[in-house]
Amino acid sequence: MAKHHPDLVMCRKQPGLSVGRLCIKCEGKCVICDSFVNPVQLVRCCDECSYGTSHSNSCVVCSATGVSDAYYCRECVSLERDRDGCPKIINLGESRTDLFYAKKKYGFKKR
Amino acid sequence: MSQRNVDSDIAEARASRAKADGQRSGGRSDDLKFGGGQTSVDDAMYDAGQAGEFVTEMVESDHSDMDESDDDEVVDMGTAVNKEASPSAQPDDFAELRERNGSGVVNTRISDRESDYHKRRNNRVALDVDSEGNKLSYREIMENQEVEREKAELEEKVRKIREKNGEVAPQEETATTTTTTTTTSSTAAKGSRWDEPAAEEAKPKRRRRWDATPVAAGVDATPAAGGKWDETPSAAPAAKKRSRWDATPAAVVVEKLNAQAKEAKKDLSADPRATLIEQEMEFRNRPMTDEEINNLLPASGYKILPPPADYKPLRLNSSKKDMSAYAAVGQTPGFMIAQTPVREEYGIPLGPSGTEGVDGIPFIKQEDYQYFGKLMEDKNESELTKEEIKERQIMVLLLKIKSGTPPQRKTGMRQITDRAREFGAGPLFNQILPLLMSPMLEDQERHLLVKVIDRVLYKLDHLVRPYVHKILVVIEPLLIDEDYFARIEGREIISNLAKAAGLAVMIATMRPDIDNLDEYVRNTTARAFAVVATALGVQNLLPFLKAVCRSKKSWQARHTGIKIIQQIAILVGCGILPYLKEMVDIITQGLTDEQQKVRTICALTLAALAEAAYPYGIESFDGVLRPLWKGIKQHRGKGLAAFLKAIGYIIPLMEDNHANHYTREVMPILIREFQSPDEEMKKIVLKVIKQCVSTTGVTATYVREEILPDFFKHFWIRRMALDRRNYKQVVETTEELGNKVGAVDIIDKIVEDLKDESEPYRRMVMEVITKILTNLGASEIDQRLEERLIDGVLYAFQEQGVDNAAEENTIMLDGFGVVVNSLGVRCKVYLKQIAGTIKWRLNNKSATVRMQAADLIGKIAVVMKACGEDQLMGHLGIVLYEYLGEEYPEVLGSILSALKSIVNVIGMTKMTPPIQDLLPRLTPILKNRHEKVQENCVDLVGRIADRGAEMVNAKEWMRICFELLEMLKAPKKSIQRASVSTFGYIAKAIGPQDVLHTLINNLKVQDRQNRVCTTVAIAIVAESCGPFTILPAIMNEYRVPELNIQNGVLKAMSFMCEYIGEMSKDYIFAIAPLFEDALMDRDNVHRQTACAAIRHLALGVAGLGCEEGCIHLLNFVWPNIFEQSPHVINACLDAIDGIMVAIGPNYLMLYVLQGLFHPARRVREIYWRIYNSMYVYAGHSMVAGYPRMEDEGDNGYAMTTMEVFI
Repeated sequence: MAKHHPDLVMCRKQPGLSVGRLCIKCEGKCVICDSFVNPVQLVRCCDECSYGTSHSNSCVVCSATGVSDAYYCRECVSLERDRDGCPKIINLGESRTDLFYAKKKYGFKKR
Repeated sequence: MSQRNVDSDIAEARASRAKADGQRSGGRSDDLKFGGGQTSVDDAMYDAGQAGEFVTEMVESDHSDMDESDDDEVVDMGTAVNKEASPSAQPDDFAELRERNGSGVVNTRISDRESDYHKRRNNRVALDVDSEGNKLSYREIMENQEVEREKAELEEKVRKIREKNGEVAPQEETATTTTTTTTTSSTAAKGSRWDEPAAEEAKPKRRRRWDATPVAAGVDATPAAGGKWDETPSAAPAAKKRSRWDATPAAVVVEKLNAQAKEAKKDLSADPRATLIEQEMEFRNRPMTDEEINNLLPASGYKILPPPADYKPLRLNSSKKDMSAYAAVGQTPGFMIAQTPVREEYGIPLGPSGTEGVDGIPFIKQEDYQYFGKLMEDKNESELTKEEIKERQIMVLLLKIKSGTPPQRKTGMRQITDRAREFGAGPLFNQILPLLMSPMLEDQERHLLVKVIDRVLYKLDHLVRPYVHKILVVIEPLLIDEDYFARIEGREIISNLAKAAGLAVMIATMRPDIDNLDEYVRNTTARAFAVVATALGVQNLLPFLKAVCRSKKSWQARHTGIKIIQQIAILVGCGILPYLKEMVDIITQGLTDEQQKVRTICALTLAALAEAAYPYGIESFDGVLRPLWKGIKQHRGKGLAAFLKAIGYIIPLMEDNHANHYTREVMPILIREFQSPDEEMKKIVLKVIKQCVSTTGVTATYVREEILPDFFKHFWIRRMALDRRNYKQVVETTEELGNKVGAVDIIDKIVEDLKDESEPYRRMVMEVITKILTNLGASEIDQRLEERLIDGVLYAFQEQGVDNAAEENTIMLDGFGVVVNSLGVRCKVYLKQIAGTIKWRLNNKSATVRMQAADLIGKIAVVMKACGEDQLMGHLGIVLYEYLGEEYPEVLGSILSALKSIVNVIGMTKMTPPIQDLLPRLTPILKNRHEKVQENCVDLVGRIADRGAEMVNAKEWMRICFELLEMLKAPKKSIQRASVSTFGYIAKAIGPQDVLHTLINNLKVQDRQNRVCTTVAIAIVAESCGPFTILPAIMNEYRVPELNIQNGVLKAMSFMCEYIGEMSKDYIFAIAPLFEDALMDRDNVHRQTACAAIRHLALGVAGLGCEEGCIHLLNFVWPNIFEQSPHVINACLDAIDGIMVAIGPNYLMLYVLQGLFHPARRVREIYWRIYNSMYVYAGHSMVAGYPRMEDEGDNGYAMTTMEVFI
C-alpha cells in the first residue's frame, strides 16, 4: 500500500522478535511493494508496534485485525528492502481520511 | 435557495420510500432483510440514517474497537459526556436537523452532535492577548491566571457564606449568569478573540475573563504596573464580588440597547435553526429586571436613567447595516451615517444560486457570508492595498477548499501550500482560525481546513510561533472528538506544530492552561501535552512534569500534570519503559493528595502505566503498592474504582507468589463490590478479577472456592446480557476463569441457561461456551454433560430470532460449529439429528433461517467427514444442489459456500451430484452480480478447475472463461484475484491457446480495471503453462498500433517477469527488442511500463549470467532519468535499482560519474539521487569503483590506507 500512497509513513524502528500480521484484505501482499507472489521472508515489527493486545495482532499495512503472517517478496529481499526497519504504517494516510469524511457526509457508513 | 429545494426533494423521496417500505413489510416481514434489487440497498443505506438508530449511535459512541485507550477515561469523563449527549438528541429534532444541514442525508454539522462538554470549547478565550489585542508576556499571562483562580476561590467562598447565611442562592445565581452573558455580547464588537463580531452572535461565549468588560479593561491594560483586580476603585467593600460590575449604570443601558439591536437583527434570518438560537439568545439577553440589578448593585447611590425620548429600537434589514449599527452602539447611540444602499436592496441576489459561482468561485453558503462576503463586493483591484489583495486571494483559496468541487479543492490546496510563506502566517491564520470556530462547520469542512493548517504549518515552520496558542485552541477539541479519524488528525497537527515551534514555545504557551479553572481546558491541554511529549521526546518533558505534579499552588496543576503522564502512557505504550521509574516517582505522592480528584487520576494513571509496561517494570511500582492497598480500604465509590483498576493492572506484572498474596488481599473487597449497583464499578471489578485470575500465582482451588459461587450469583443474570459493555466484560472474565478452573466447572454451571427464555442471555452463554471450548477443547466433558450441551445448543440455534443483526447471528452459528468441532467423532450419534434440523431449516420460509442452515453445513462438514458420514454428506450435497435456484443472494452465497466445503472434504470423484452435473449449473450463477454469490461461486469453480477439470468438457470451460472476463470488473479485490487464478487453472486444464485468445481480445476494452486484470491473467497463464506458450502471441499483439493494447502487452510482460522470476533468463534476449522499442516510444506510459518490466526482469535474472542483456537494456533506460512525471521517474529509478542488483554497483557507477559534477543543478540532482541509493545499497562494494584521481600540480589526492584510517 505504501507504494501507491506516498504519504504513508513507516515506523522504521529497529525490528524486534514479533512477527508482523496482515488483515484479510491485505493478506498475501508484500508489505513493501504489494506483490502477491514469491513471499520469502517473514516481516518483523519493532516492540512498540507490537505491544499490547490491540497492536500485536493488527495489520502491518492498515491496522485492521490480522489473520496471517506478513512477508517480504523475493524482489524486495534482493533489493534489501527488508533491512530498512519496522515496516508498520503508523499514520492513517490522506486518502483514507478523505474517504472517511466523504462517506460520512453522505451517511454511507455508520459510526 | 436551490439547496433548500434539493433538500425538500430528498425529504419527499425518503417519505415515499418509507411508505413503500411499510407496505412491503406488511406483506412478508421476515424476508425484508434481503429484499432483492436496488431498493434493498437503498434501504440499508438510508435506514441506517433513520432517527432512532442515529440516536443510539450518538449516545453510545463506542470507540473501543478503534482506540481502546480512550476507554480508560470512563471513570473520569467518558460516561459523563455520553450521558449528557443523550437528552439533547431527540429523535424528531435530529431528523429535522439532518435534513437541513450537511449533505441532506445525514447531519454532519459538528455543533449539532456535540455534547455539552464538547461545547465548552466555545468558552475558551485567548490568554496571550489582552482586551486590546496586545500581546502579553508569559509572566503577565500567568499573573492573570493566578488572579482569576483567586477570584474563583473567593467567589466560591462568598457563595458558601451566603448560603450559610440563608440568602437566596439560586436567584443570585441566575442573576449573575444573565449579566455575564449580556456583558459579553457587548464586548463582542471590540474585544472578541477573532475580531469577528458576527461569529459571536450565534454562540454566546461565556465570559470568564474578569477584565473583559469594557469598563474593567482599563485596569487590565496595565498589568505590569501591578494591575490587580482588587485595586479597582471599588466603592463598596462589602461585596467584593461586585468589583467587576462597578461600572457606571450606563453600561447596563448599553446592554439593553445592545440586546435590542440584536433582537432587531434576528428578524432577518429565516432559518428556523437560527430562530431557535435567537429565542435562546433573547432569553439570555433579556433586559435585567430592577430586582436583578438591585441584587447586583447597591440599592442606593444609583439612579435609573430614562431612555432618550427620541430613542427607537433598531429594526434594520440588511446584515451590513446591522453590523454597523451594532458597532456604532458602543459609541454614540442615536446617530448614524446612512449607508450606501447595498446590493440586496436592488433585488440583485448576492451570489449566483448554483453550485458554480462567478469566476470559478464556488457558491457561498448563507452561513459563510460573514467570512467570504467580501469576495462578493465588486472592487477594482487597483484600488486595493497590497494587504487587501492578499487577503482576497487567501479568501478565494479557502473558499475553494471549503466548498469547491474536488478539482477546485485540489488546486486551492496546492496554491495555498506553495504560497504559504508569501502570504505569511498572520493573514493565513487570521482567516483560517475563525472559519474553524464557526458554529456551522461540518465534519468534512473541518477536515479540509485542518488539512490546510497541516500543509501550511509545514511550510511556515517557526513562523507559526505567535499563533501557537490560537491554533491549539481550535485543534485541541479534535483530541476528544467522537471520531477516531478526527482524534488522529488532531494528534498529527499538534505534533507537527510542536516540531515547528519547539519545546520551549510549546511549554510557555500551554503552561497557563494547565491550571485553568475549566476542566475542559485542562483535559484537552493534558492530551495535547502528551502529544507534544511524544513528538519531541518524553525525556525532555519530564523535568517540567515533575515540577507541575508537585505544584503547591493549585491542585488543578497537579491533576493535569498527572493526567499528562496518563495520556503519554496511553499514547506511546511500551515506549514509556525507559522512563517508567521516573514517571511513577513523579506521581507517587498524588496517591495521598488532599484532593479526591487528584488521588483518583493518580490511580488511573498508575493503571495506564502498568498496562503500558506489561509484562515488565514491577520494580518501578514498588513504592506505590502500599498506598494503593491501603487506599482500597479507605476509599468508596469512584476513588475505590480507580484504585481497584490500578491494582488490577499492577498484579499481572508481579511474580507468582506476590501476585497470589496481593490477590488474596484485594479479593474480599472485590467480592464485596460484586453487589455494587454502579455499572462502572461492576465493569472494573470484572476486569480486575480477570487480571488477577490470569496470573499463575493464583490457584485453581482458590478461584473455585472463593470466587466462582459469588461470581455466578451476581453476574450470570439476564440483566447483564442487556448492556453491551457489561456483556463483553462478563464474557471475557468468565473465559479467563474457565482457563483457570477448567471447562467443566464453567460449562456445567451455565449449560442449562442455553434454554433460558431471554435471547441475549442465551447468546451470552453460547459465546462463553464457544470461547472456553476453543481454548480448552472438549476432552474433559463427560457423556452426560455432552448430551446436555448438544441439546442446549440445538435448542438455542433453533430458537434464535430471525431479524437479528448479522453479528448476533454469527454467535449462535459459530458456537454450534465450535461445539461440534471440539466434540469431533463423539458427535457421530447426534449428526443424524443435526442434519435433519438443517434439512428442515433449509426449507424454511425465512431467508435468514435458510442462510444459517447452509452456513452450518459449511462449519460441520469436516466433522461429518471425520465421523465417516460420507453418505449423509452426499445427501446434503444433493439437497443443496436442488436449492441452487435460491433467489436471495445472501442465501445463495451461503449455499454455494456449503457446497464448496462438501466438495473440499469428500473430493471431486465421490461428490454427489457429480461434477459434470454441478458445473453447468454454476455457469449461469457466475452472472449474478451480488458480491457474496460471486465470491463463493468463483471459489467453487476455481476449486473444481484446480482438482477436477478433466471431468468437464472444454466447451464448458470456455463458456466459463467468458463469464470470468466479466468477473474481472467486480469491485471486490478478492473476487478479481480468485477469477484471475481460475484462468490459470483452466488454461492448465484445456491448454493455453483458447484462453489466451479470449484474454488478448479483452485487452481492447476501454475499462482500465478490466484490462489490468486481463494482463494479470495472461501472466498467470504464462506462469502455469510456460512463457513460451504465451510470448509469441503477445509479442505479435504488440505490433497492433494501439496504445491500450501495447501497454497491455507490456504490463502483461511486467507481471510475467515478476511471476516467473529466474525462468526469465531464457527469454531475456528474445524479449529485449520489444523493450527497446517501448523505451524509445514517445508515449511515456510505454516507457514507464517497460521500466517496471525491466526491473522485474533484472531482479529475476540477477546472478544468472545475463549481465550483457541487462547492460543493453540499461542503455535504453538511462535517458529516462530526466523524466518529469513522478510515475515515470519512479519506475525508471526502480528499474535502475533492479539493474544495479543484476550488474553490480560498480558498473552503474561509471554511468553515474558522468553527471555527478555536472554544471547544471537539475542534472546533478538526479545523478546524486541515484548515487545515494547505490551508496545505501552497496556502499562497501563501491569503493573499488571510485575513480583514480590524478595529482594536479601541488594538489595530491592520493591517500594511503593509514591516512584514511587516522
